Amino acid sequence: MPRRRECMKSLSHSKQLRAKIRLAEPCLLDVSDRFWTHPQLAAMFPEFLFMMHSIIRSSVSLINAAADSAQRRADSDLVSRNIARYYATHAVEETHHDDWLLEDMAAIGAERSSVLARLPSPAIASLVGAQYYWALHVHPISLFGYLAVLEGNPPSLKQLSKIRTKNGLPPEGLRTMVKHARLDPHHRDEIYAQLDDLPLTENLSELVAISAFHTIEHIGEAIQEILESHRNGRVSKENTAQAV
Amino acid sequence: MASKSKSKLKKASNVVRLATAGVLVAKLLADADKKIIEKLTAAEVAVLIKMRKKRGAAPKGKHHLRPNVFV
Repeated sequence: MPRRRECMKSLSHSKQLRAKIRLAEPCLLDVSDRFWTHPQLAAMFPEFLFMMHSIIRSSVSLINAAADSAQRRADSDLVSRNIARYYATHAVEETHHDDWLLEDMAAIGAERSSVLARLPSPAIASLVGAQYYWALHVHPISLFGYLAVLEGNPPSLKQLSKIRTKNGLPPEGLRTMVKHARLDPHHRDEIYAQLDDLPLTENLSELVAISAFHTIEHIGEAIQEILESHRNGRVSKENTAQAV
Repeated sequence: MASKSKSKLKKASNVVRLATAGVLVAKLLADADKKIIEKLTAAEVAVLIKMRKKRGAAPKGKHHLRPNVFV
């Protein structure tokens, strides 16, 4: 038994989190595969951008809320003190990414005002809302689980190029994705490096993992909703025209 | 009988519980992975099992694309 404890102790927080995410990820990868290999991906692509915008529009305020919560705890909590600085920097890095997506959507025919007026899926509200709850009422470290999932698997430039060509998607619709393909590997490395520097308790590690699992579950649900809307004919023919 | 097997599962290792729920295939795991899985808390295991029940099993042996989600 002591040997086992020693072995686990030597595993970094980031390695443990990656291993936990790998256990939960197959459900998301399955629905993601079905979406990206769908023969009518072009018709659904504007819906995907809308889903992404629904998430990204909350990024800066969510990260700032976590930063404020961490700052309030900083005097008595070393983890909070460290992550408050990281969140403050990261919020700046995420600024205007929602505007990039709006520009991409406008470039493929969506009206900015319509996008902003449309109600996002409850799956997105659950995804983001839970993060506010954890960050404000439990511990702001929770956001690491969310960020590790959302920034942990960025698309590669090669993948994006293949998807664009195969489905005849306009390059203007993928500009934000291309930027993220370049930025997120760096952000992912920062998240994991930061995590490894923190004196996490078992409780906090558990919170990060539960947050990551919740993120995987609700992203999967949101992509599944797009597929189901398409199957039920709710993704309109206009979207096809906009996308191609 | 049902409650007997239920209590048996409660005492089972994380690997057995997750394999029984279809979250993982135990024989495909390396020893290092098993050690990590045994370290999972009861809450983490419960969420993984709940997710699997809700979303169903992923097809095996497929070359997956990445999720392509980002913030």
